[in-house]
Amino acid sequence: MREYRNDIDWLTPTLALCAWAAHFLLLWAASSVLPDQPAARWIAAILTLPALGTLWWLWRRGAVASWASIPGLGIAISATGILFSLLPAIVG
Amino acid sequence: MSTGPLDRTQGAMEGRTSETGFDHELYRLFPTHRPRPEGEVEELEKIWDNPKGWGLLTVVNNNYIGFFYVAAAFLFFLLAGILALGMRVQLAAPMQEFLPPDTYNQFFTMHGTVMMFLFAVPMVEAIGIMLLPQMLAARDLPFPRLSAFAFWAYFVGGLCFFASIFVGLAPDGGWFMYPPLTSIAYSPEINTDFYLLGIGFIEISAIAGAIEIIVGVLRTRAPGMTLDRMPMFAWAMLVFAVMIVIAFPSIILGTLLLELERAFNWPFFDPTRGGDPLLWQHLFWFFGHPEVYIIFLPAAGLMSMMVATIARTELVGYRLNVLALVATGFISFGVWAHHMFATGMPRVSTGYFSAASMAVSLPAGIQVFCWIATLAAGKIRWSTPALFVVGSIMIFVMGGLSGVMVGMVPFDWQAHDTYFIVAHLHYVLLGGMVFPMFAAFYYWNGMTSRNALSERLGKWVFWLMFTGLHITFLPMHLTGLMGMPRRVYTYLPDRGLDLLNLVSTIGAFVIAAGVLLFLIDLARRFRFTTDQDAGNTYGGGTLEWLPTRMYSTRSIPLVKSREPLWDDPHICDDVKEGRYFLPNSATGLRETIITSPINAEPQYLQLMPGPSPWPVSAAVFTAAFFLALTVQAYAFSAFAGVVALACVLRWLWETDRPIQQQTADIGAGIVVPIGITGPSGHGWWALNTLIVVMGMIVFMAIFSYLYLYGINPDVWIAPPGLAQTAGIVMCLLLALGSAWLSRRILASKPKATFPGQGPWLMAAVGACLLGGAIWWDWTGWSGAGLDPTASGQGATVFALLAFQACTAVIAAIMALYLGYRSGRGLLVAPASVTLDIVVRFIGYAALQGLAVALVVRLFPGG
Repeated sequence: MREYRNDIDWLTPTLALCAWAAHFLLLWAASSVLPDQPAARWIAAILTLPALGTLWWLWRRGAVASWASIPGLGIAISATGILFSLLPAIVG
Repeated sequence: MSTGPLDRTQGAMEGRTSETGFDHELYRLFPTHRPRPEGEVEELEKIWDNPKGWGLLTVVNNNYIGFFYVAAAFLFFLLAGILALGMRVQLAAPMQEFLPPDTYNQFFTMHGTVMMFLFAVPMVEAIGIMLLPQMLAARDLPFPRLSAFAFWAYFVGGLCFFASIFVGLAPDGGWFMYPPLTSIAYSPEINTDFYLLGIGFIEISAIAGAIEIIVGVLRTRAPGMTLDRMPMFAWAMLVFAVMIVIAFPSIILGTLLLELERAFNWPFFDPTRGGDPLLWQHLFWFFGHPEVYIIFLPAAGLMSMMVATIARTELVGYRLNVLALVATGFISFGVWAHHMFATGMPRVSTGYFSAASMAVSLPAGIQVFCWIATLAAGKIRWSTPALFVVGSIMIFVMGGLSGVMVGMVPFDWQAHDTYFIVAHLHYVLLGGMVFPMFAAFYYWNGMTSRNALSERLGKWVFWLMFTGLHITFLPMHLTGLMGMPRRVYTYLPDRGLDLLNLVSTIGAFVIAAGVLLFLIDLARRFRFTTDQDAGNTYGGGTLEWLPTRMYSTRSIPLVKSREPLWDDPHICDDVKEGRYFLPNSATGLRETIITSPINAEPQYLQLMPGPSPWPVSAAVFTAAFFLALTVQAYAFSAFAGVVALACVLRWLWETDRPIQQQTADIGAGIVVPIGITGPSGHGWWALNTLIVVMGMIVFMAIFSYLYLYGINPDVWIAPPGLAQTAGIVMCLLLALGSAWLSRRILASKPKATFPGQGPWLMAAVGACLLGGAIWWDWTGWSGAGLDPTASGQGATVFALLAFQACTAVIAAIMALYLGYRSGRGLLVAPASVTLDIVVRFIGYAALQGLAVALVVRLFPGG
């Protein structure tokens, strides 16, 4: 009776968005504690690596088949958010 | 398959692939075919009957409370709209004297405050309380008395709050109340206090409603309604309620801190003593910007449901839409400081918030494209709701685009605090919430009224509001770009602003004409009913359109698709004839089925409370408590607080009573337990949600502490010694152990026996230890020379300690209440919901105390 089971993986996109939130808050904290200092930009760049790594891990863990799925799109939105956040540290 | 009740219970526990062990094969038994016994419907009618006349004050059923709530919220919409008209008359020509400057300040403050706190959030909660039980096919939401309390606290308090404008004491510092303008030096009268304390009951009401909605959506769905089959509105309300739980604590804390500063001179926002006015802006906007999405997302849920019906096809991208709701909920918490671009934040910081402001448009765009695709895929029936829905999409997109513009820092610097922002926010809020609300009024009117509203007048209402909106707010983009500041009561002539302002004023009255026509239609056609409604006027496919009475549906259907009424032509008859779950009252009491959170498998039967005077009494005295504080009637405030508490305890007294019957047949011989404790119980979920709220308040208070340290570390003094800290930690760990032991003692006693004095005494010991720890903490800091009026450190540390002290007092009251219940023989082994809640609260209070003590004593340290 699979018809009464929820087969959609909502956990992966939720965790991916949590990764975005953690990345965002850490970047903001660094830029507030070290205002207008190059270190804040370096921290942003360095923190982006584990954030993207987390998304990659979520992709593997959830055995995501393609971007055109709920977990895939959740990861894509989070990745876009993370890369958006990195931009001001590089060019701002 | 065996058909005996016992066998089915056993079968229900043997399933291997389900969430709870429930055997899905049992679903094949529905719809049943045997005729139901005579008299079941009459019994349901009798059990769910409500008092009439003045007795309506005691009703708790969602059909009434939801309707009262919607009506009250709409009343505040009208009142705030009248204030807006007053402002537009004042601004119709330069140098007008229709409103004196002070009154104008009160008008724009009350317009914003009432629209945001007394209309928008309550309205979406109200629609949720009214629609969700029927949409989920529950008999009612799981805590009907909490809903009643939330409504009455809001309504009584809201009316008193609004009345402040008639005596010239309404708040006048703008709806976001920035200090130092609102500090005691610049606002010495009680206008600001009306805001800070007056909205206290609204915050309580919103959180009570959010708890009700989270537990309701996750635990009272009809069997078979998996997460993937939930109506979009239920998804939206779930995200909405979670956002309230995360965002509202920030404004609760902010208003508390500002009131403490005003009343007791604790300098949270005073830069001369280590405070910072920007802390208020962070606290306010961490709530304030998600608030926009808190308002928008439920309306988007309504839109998604109406779009499908209007286009007569399934919603395109249901799952995408859900993902977009969740993503919007997340990302909306990363945009709060885009309201603070003009405050001189570090350059890279502003960039982050600008980037997040761009990112949040992605999920919002997904929703809009899903709606457009649905409309394109189906065949639109151009009814009144259709017009409002399509108009809403257009308006919201326009507001969203100007939002992207002000999300860019250089543009925001130009447009900040001008009429461009006023135009932007009104496009977003009217398109994102008000127009969907009017669409919903027409669409769901058939659920609560004997007559459908007039389609002909409805189209007039739409066109008047739609054109009026553009006439009013489109010119404001120009007046803003030409430099007209918001919140100033007049402007000079011959600056090119005269005609644009006059046009805006004319537009405001065109909108008002549309609303007036709607009221006329309501007066002509709307007749409230709970049993002879006009029905499914527009042909919706979801469960709220099943035949319903006060008890919701006769039987609770098995859900096999997202639009059951479109997919199963017999479902209405089968439900009405009692061929599904719970076709009768299994216990002779009010009850509903609690299902599992993911797959909605039946778990147990919840007994529900009926009408009671205590929720309304508690609400009235809660509102009185806050309002008496505002006017500095402290003795009466204390009295009102004690009476409110007594009312709450009295209402709780009637719950969690041991009953003889342990199990119930919920249809087709399927037997489930009646009421359970622990993680499967709905009370467990509600308390956890409340704990998240309290945890968020502490989290934001700790953020405030760290923020002020970052701004002005020079005024920080060394904490008390480590030995004292270790002692406090030990006290709190012992409190945690007492709470754990209390439950162990109860669980160790034989079933259905009195457990002795041990369980409640252990809980009381835990509460006493909490009190001892906070006393030690407080005196320790005082002994170290910290003064709450001297510095930002003193203010934030003592604010945290005061919050912990309040938590300890609540824990003590709960322990005493538990002792009294135990003495009256209402505490029975091996498990009790009341004890479970009391000891888990004490356990949480101990953990909260640990966090508070350790953070402020160890960071930054000596």
